[in-house]
Amino acid sequence: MILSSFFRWRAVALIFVILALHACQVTKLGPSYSEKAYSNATTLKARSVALIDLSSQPYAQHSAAATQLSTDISAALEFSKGQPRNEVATNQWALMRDPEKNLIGGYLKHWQGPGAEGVSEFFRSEARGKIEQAYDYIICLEVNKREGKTCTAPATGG
Amino acid sequence: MNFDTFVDAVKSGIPELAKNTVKDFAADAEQDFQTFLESSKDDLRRWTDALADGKLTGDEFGFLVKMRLDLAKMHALTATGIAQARVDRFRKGVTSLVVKSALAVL
Repeated sequence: MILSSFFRWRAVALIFVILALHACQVTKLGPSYSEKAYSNATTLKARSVALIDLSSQPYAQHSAAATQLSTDISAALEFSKGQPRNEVATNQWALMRDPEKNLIGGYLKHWQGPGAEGVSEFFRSEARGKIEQAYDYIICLEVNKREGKTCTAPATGG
Repeated sequence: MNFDTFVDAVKSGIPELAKNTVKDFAADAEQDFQTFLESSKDDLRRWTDALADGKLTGDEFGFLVKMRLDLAKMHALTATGIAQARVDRFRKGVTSLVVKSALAVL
């Protein structure tokens, strides 16, 4: 009697272990951290900001750089799509890239717009700050996939 | 050692695990949203002044306002993603706790 009880609770414990290991594999909600995704976000943020700073000049002088940046943001989006359970970050990259929206994709389209002589100082400064914040949201999310981390509050203003 | 030991070990580990992962998330999210809202008001005040001063054209003002809305979407997406990550960490922590406690009594 004592012996059967001894083995019974061990068996129950073993079943719990098996179920827990199985649960760990099948019920993950979100994606895993990606060093490549983090690198994409930080690098493209720096490049975007550098190009915005140059947007006081006519678009034609920097069209190659703008095109390359757009292409690389598209590549970051595609990479994001390829990660499992990564819809949230993918939606962020899509919003960043979209020329019909008002983040970096829309800014590059605006720069290219009528006249295309360069973007005014106040607008450029404000947009720069907001686009930096947008990238910070992507970076913050990526970092938090790995560990709980408080992201620095984005600066207000341009 | 018996099954009760296993259950007690799991139960005693849960509060600390919750504290380190999902606790206070609602309060944090609320505070974060309020901060975001205040900064949005500041932006709109500054842009309206700039429009009145001729530093912004109407089109540029409209663009910035829409940019603010897109930024709000980015903010909300990050909050959603972080919530998912916290729940995952809590679940992973519970799994680890169960496994450790079970192995300890085997």
